[in-house]
Amino acid sequence: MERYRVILGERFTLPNKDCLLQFELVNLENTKKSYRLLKLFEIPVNVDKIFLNNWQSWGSCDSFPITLDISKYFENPPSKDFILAFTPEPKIFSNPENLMSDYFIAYGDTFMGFLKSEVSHNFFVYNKNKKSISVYVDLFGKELEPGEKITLEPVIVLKGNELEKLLETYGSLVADENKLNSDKEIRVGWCSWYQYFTNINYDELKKNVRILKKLREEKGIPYRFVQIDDGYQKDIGDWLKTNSKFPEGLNGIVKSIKEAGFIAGIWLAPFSISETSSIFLEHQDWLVKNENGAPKIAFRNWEKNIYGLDLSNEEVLNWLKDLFTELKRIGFDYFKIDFLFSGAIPGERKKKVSPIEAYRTGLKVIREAIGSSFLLGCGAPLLPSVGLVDGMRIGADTSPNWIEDIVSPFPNAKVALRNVVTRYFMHKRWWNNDPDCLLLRGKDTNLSKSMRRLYSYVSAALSNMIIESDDMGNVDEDGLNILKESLKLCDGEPRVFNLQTDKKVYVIGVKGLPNGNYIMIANLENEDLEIEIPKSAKQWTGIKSKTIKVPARDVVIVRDQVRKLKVERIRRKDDNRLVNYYWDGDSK
Amino acid sequence: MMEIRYNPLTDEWVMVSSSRRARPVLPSENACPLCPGVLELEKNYDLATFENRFPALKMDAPEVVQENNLLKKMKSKGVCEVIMYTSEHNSALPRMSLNQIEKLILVWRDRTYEISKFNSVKYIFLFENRGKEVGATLSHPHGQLYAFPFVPKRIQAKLDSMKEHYSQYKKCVLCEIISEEIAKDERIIYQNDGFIAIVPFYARFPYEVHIYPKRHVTSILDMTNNEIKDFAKTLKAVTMKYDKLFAQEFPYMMCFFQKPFNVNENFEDFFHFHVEFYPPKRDKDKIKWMASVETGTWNFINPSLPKEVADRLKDAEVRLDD
Repeated sequence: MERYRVILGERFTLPNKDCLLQFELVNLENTKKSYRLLKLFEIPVNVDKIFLNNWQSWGSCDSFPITLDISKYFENPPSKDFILAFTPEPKIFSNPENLMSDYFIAYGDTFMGFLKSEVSHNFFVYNKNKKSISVYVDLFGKELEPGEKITLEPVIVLKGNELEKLLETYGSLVADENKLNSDKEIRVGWCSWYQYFTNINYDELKKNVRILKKLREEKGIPYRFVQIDDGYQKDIGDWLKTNSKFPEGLNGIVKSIKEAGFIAGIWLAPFSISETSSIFLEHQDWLVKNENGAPKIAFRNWEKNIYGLDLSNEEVLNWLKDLFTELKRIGFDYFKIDFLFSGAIPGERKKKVSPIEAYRTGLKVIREAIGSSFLLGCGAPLLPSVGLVDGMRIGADTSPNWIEDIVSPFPNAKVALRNVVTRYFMHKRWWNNDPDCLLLRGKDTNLSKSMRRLYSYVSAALSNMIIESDDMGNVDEDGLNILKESLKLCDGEPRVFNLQTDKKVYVIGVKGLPNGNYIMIANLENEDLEIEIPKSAKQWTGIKSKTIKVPARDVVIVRDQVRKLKVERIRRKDDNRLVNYYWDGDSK
Repeated sequence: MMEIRYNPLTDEWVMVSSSRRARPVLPSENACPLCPGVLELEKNYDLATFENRFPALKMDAPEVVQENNLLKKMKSKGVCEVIMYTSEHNSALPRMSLNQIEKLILVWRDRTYEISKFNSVKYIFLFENRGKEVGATLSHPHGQLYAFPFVPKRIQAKLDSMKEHYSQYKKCVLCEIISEEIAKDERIIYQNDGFIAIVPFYARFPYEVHIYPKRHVTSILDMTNNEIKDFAKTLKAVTMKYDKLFAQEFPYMMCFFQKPFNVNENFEDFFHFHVEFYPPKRDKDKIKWMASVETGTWNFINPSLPKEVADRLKDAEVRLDD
């Protein structure tokens, strides 16, 4: 791929081929100068729809018509109170003339994407009036000395008509740029959230641990970790103290989980501080401020104002380090860290660093404190988290409800599953994708059996993390069978085809499994559909099917079954070398 | 001593494995250590694999201490396995039934899949050395597998070249070559629905043959059940033709080239699985030596015209019935 170095401000024509662009910013003034929003270039675009990506875990990634007005979704509470969760550029984001896409964008035969976000926030804006896409970096007031030159974070341009190939190439280029090579993987787990929400208590936790242990031992379901979610803590920010529902404290939680042979996991929102927490009462100087010097509200949740920690402040970082060191000492080995965007909101900080730099510093402190334990990000700016987490939520919260609206980012199984598909290319390249929890119970849910199967099979086909969130007493044989069948679908090489169709019906080709390739057709629509398998999916899998009927909100799998040998794997007694004996079904 | 040393003159890694090759004690002078119950395999078997007794790579390789930045080294962390094609001592790929070769392909797939789960493994190389001319000391039909903690130099050269072609033309170079060869039909010695075997335009050895899957697949794991059957037929056809043409057990090196594993790069669209046979002979009784030019410059002088060799191999008719 050709590389171009461009001095920002000089004449520049975008080459019509794959290329990497590195823009250089030079302060030509005689005085120190601070830089905020910089437009790298603008190109006219004449298309009907654009593939957009929101900066954060919960935000949409999808192909949208250019007429879409996202701003209307954020006009009123509660979404209005959450706007900083969905953009660090609220003015641009809320302008109905704009369609904003963070980190990458695709239209026609062109894909553009930034390879990193360690300092600036990097994004694209389609302007409906101008019919153009502008490419921006926000340096949030970074200062340059006279004559000083910096290289901005690189952006690539890829050409091609198959979006899946462009996304995968982009994903690998980002991994390469950030020198990623993580082998951490964890599957299968349990999480308390989507059954109990904040009502989880110690007895319910212990009951579920007992059932999970029994299922592991008697049914061979390989549950490995149990993660307590929101609901155990005294307050948002007071993580080491439990509330009255957990009289045995964090030690009791860990003990109950570990005694049953599971890895103990905990949820917390480490960059968020509620207005009733001890941190807020004692350390308002630790919080990101607004332009008036007052603590800036990051969002409203739990019926409280929530503030973001100033991660440029050494005292905050020491507190963060002590918090995670203590959680690790208590025995937690799996950490789900949520609402991370609140560490990256724009605002005034103690040191002159960008919100992105502050955010990454906070994540690094957590990473160092917990060592090799598993770190799952959530509610997180995506590109700045690359290389610092082992897993990442890549969609909105799922829900026991299936709602047709696929733009609203609030809890909804359909919108969550849509992102599982559209951000599939991040998995294993950047981290382990967390598709959010599987809800497999037959009670206390509005999800039909086919919806539960659809969500579970798609997550498995894409080899994502598998985390169940049910009162295990409510999971019947149907639910367990869905989980068992799902696990058989994991660990192949998936590719998603027809990412840009208007109907949310996806064709997922999976190859590279010893028992054979398969094509999965996932129909997220509320109507039965007949789907023509794309030529590229047939090419990927070698499966020759032409058209497949898929019921509404359900999934169909077409397999190429490969002959199977039996195998016995043993270690030699004399020197421990591995020996594998193979035979046909009948021939032993 | 067991370590991997870096050659900064060529940017390649050299595996040093100087463990003394103590000959294992065999029940009798002529016993085959690969036959069931003799030495390596305690049980009777149909097909089997085992970790090499004297490996150049192993997962629990000794730690290495870096002496300085100039003479770099790394742990010999990897896998060396022997793959037994059959328990029949006097068999060989060309004499094995299609059913047995199919099973062998399933074993290659299983080992590739299982070993690819180790994140430290970057390249899985399946191969067979047939005949004493290429150093095979045991005649019992077997191949080997090396799982490297790096992508070997020649493989990297292939990847770079195929990637460059793809980035220029947005097409897999081998897919294009397959179309070209099928259209020309000058160098194809055998083909079926799934595979072609050719003496390539760019053959380095006089009797070099390449096997290409017609569909774009990147590893042996990607093949469908029908392709596995077609691959078995192709392997049998090529090796039978060698033996038939020369009326002898024609020696060869058979090398499988698949994509790297656990490397964060998107190989899927530009890399195409293939097999290369390098027979060390330029005629029935003449050796094609890897001499100074070949070894020193990596440049080969092929004394034969690929089309003429292809004609001879094509004319060597074989029956693939089980």
